[in-house]
Amino acid sequence: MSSTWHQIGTWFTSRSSWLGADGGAGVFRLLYQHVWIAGLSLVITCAIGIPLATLLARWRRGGLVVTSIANAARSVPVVGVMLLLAVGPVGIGTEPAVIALVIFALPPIVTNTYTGITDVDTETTRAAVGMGMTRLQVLWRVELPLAIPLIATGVRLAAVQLWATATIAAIVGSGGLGQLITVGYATQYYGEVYGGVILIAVTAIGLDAAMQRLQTVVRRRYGAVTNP
Amino acid sequence: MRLPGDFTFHKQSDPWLSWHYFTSNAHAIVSATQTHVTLTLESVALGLLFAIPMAALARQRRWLRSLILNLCTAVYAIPSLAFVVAMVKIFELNSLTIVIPLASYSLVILVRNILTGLDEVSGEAVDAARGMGLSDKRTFFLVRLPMALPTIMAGVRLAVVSTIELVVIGGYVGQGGYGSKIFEAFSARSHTELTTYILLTVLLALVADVVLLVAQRLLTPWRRGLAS
Repeated sequence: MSSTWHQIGTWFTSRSSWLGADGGAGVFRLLYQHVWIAGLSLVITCAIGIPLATLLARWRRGGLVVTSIANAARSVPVVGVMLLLAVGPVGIGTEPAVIALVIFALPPIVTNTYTGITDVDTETTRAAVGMGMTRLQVLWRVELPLAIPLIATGVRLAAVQLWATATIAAIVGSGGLGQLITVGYATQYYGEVYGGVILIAVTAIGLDAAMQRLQTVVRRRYGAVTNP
Repeated sequence: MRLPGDFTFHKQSDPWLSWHYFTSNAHAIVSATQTHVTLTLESVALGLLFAIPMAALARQRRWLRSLILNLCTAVYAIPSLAFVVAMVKIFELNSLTIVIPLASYSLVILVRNILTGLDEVSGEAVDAARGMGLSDKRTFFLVRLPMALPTIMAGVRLAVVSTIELVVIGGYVGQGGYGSKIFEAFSARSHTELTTYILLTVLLALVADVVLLVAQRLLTPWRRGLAS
């Protein structure tokens, strides 16, 4: 074990592990890839999930459908889907990772947005209609703003999960911080493995804390009326 | 980057789904299922073993409560691939490599649910037990814990279902039940095998969900008829 500690020290202090060497990517490059994969997945998930949930909520029927699909989606192994896409039509690279991550991150965003909109008091919406607002205006100016605290919760959960799960993306060759673990494990260089584990765990926990603070700000700004 | 499965060879037929594959590999499927179920149960059992004293401790002081809950959330934020590979060096081929990370992840659900369950126990019941001369310890095991059982069981159910999906990552280090099969299938580029084991994972999660729901009803007969 003492040699492992030594290896970790060597890895952390060596210039090549941060800047890359011999064609291998360094931490900075991998971090950039990690942010790119997780960020792109989050943007796509929001772009699909929020309008979809809004539509379903307006339609007022999707309740059971939304929860059952979301529950089923939660039990789909992300790694499996990523590997399947990689050997299938999509091929190895960023694409299988992002597609699998989007499928994985949709449930928290869809369920929270859906609940946020349907939880808006009917008296509030009736009052808005009574003031002469159209259906679309009610949605845009009453229901969505009131749903913001819950939507923010969904986005926070998705972001934290995406950051953690983007680690797996390294297995299908799309880089990111997970590559420190896959490459280190393949070459049995545990200095790199543990270096990667520490970096990923610290950034994941840090992001979680930062997102929670951000959520508190959003909740205070938009007045949280519903429970988390 | 060169991946483990990065070679090409000819296969006679490799459909996305095949009933023939399912029947001709029944033996392998049964044994993978056994491993998968065992790993899941071991993880949740170990999680429960730690979660009960942790929840009991969290009820003692306000700062302990937030400390323990924050600790569980932080651990949950650590990516599974990082956690599992970090354990490989210590436990190698022992199943603890996968069981310890999964047990740690289950804490966030279990501790929270046990706490909620214990909080909901009515003060009157506890007072009655005290009045009958029960010691604190006996009150905890004979009154508080059984009365908290419905909420605890709901937590166990959630933990089992989410653990079934998480076990798959163990396949990366050869410890996964279905996960091992999924990673083997990736190396062999077998579509049939990949889809079969992904679907089996989802199916197992659904079956576990139903079985535990029934168990929850049977274990708490006094709650029958009430919405669970």
